[in-house]
Amino acid sequence: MTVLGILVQVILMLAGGAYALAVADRLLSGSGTRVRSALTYPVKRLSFLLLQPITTTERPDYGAWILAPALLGALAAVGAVAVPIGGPSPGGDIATGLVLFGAAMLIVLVAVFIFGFAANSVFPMVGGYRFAAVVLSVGIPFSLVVLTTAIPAESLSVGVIVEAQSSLWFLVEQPLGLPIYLVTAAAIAFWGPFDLPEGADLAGGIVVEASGTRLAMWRISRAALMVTLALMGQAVFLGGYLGPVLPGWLWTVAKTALLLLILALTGRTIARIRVQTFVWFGWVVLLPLALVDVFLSGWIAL
Amino acid sequence: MSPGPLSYFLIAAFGIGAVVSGWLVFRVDSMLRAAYWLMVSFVAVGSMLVVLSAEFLGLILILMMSGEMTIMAIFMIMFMMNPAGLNPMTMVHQNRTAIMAGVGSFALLALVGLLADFPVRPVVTGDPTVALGEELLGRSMLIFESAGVALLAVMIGAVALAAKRGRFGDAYEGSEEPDLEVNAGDRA
Amino acid sequence: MGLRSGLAYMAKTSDVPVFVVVGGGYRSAVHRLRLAGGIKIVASPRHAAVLLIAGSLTEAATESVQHVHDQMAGPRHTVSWGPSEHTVVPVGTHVIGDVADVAIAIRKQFHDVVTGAIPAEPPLLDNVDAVEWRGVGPYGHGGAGMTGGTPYGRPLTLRAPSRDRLELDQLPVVIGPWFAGFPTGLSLRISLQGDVAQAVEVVATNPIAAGSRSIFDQALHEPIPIHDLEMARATHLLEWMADALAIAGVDRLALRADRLASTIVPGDAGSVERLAAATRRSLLRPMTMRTVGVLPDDVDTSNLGPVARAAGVPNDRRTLEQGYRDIDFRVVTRTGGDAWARFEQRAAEAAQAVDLAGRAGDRMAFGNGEVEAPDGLRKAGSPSPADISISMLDALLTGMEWGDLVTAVQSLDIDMEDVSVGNPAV
Repeated sequence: MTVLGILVQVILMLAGGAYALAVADRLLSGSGTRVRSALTYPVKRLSFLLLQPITTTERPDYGAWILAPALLGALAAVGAVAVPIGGPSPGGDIATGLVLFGAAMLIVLVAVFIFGFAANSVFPMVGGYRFAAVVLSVGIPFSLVVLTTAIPAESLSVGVIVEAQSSLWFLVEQPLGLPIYLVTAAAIAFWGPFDLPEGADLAGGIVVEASGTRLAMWRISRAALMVTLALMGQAVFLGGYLGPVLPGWLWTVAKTALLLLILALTGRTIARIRVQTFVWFGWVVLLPLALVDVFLSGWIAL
Repeated sequence: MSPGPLSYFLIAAFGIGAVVSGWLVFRVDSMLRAAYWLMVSFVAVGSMLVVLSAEFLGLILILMMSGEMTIMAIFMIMFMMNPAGLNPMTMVHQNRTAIMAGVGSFALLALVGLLADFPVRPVVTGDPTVALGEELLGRSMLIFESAGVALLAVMIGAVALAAKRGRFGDAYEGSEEPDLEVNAGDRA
Repeated sequence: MGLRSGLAYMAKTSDVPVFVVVGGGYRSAVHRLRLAGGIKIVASPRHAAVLLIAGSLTEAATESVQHVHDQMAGPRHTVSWGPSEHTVVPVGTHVIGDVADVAIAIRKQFHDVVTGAIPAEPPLLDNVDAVEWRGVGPYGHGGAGMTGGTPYGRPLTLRAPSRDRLELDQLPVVIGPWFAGFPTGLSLRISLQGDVAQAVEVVATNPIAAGSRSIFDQALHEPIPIHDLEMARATHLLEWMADALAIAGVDRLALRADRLASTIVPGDAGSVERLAAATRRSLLRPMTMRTVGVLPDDVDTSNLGPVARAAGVPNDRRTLEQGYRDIDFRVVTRTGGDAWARFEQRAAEAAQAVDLAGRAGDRMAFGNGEVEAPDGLRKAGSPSPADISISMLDALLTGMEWGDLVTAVQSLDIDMEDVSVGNPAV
């Protein structure tokens, strides 16, 4: 596939996924919205944000403030490039796709941190710091469970990992993988119940001072990030494009939508976690479980 | 990637980017910006490695540096005045020593670059994961295995430390803030 | 159709982002406004298009409300809501009426300001730097050394030892009076180190003017039907639960609590209990509230109603009243005294109040100068529960992480209307 083709495919996938996520989140918000009005809700909301001027604060870091949402969106796109959508790509996909994805997801920390830093305001800054604590606590388990899927596949290429699941999904072969992945992915996408940098106790945290196009960009980029995380989750744990009857890309879309729905639902129904409890959870629960996952998978593979 | 005009162009672009962002580290006025310009510089170097078909090495470099720079920035902000650059500050000090060290190390590296006899090895074709695996468990096995075991020990040690009963109780209690005043009994 | 008008066409029927300044007497009304369709109450004025000023404010509110007004990005419009027009923000539309009226007004003004039918409001304050930039040197950093200068008249941050005895920065900030995580009107002057509050002091001005007397104030001096009193109690407690759930990030359940508060009927304790069960399923206790906000031992909390009863103190004025004895009133208590115990306590008391109201018939309550209000014992001539809570905030909050601080303040249910006017830090 040409570079242009991949680009179009990734943008379509992320934009569609972000729109679907916004609609689903609206339906799950408990405000009794009808499906019809939920379908137009993202468009109306975006229109308003585009009308709203971008406000500024006292001596913000303009460069970082403009760059951060763009960086977040770019990272989502880079992560998504590693995932084959419709089937094995003819030229072979990126050989170190998993590492590319992992690197992109860890740089999310930088995007969020500078977005909080740039506003030169207390709540955004505290939000940025909180996110550093979050990512440092889940970064290792996240990378471990993703990389563990490379052990039985004997490759870091996501396409090969998908093919290796033709007999059995890694959801079954590595039962600890997907649960840990979903928890850490929600934390990396600062999605509820781990929305610590954007928590209601900070009145919105990193986005408190953002308005208009800046806020819209940030929201879209964050939704795209969620889609990328769901895309990778379904590729390495749910067998990606593999499935009977339907074309491959439809399976990818369906499985991605399923994971997004799970994330949207838990984000709406579970209370936000305290920072201290989360750090404890990351180091004392998730990390040992991720190590167990690595050892078990390695043992099975041998 | 076969070397072509595009590769030369990309390497030059990333190289210039690495140098310029490295220079910017000393031209900005807050520690956080300095830390992240340094990260940009490393990302440019990592991208050069990717263009040179050392994908894995380049991506790992980017991955490690992004985490490290944030840790560095947090520590700098924590331990020094001026959180997050609310007030500007200059990023240079001890200029004479720094200039001498900089010029000296540049000269040394340039000499190495000019005088060393670099081996010529063709780019590995095929799956780099296989090549990496052969490298890890072949000639360099001792180095990588000892480093790998050490890193694993560090990780398990971190878990053990995190889960251990400390001066503020067990792990969950220890995650709570203790009183602001450290008790006299804890000082020892 | 130009781009702007096209966007306006789409945006004019979207949910109106409203930032609310809740003044005296309008706490409950604003909770009901959350249920009105097409309105979304936001926590940051930057995200809002309409500023709603509900209820009575004092002169002390003027400057902070003007700041909030100017922080709105626009297209912006102000709607004030209350019995009499006030002069805090001398622009916008005034509404006298109930929740439905103000909801209609908000949607109409939003529609008009977005489409350009009415002009957006100009700023109320001059956008000038409070203090001139005074840094010198190539970066304005103050010249000699690495740092220095007093940009915007702000000296470098303070330094103070952390609990690990490292000398770290400390940032003095004032949070409030319209911060959505605090009771409306409360301002705290806080020294933050990272997100740990190292020193907390209540700002001694009260922007909230007392609204009309609540039913509990009336019960101090005259007999009131138990049915009315208990339904008012249930509504108050359910609205408090909605606030707690919103801060914990479970807006779904917060909306459900608000809906229940406005529709609950006497005797329907089951609905409240189902809400409490749903809250337990949301993992509110282990995730957010366990061990948070336990009061220091040396504070007398016996008159703090649910807060005291959540710590196992069976103190309730209602046990002394014949009307309540007739319907077999029993004091409910919890143990633990943390934020979760207070949540469970209030949920249980809300269910109990609904149940009592269903069985009260036409019995009357008369406290003769004392009444058990939802936030504690009110006694003529004594400090109100809010006064007591305010006086112990600094001792309670010092050393807390920010999220816990917000949870703890909210768990006390402080009503700034009842705080001795102008000087909360009595």
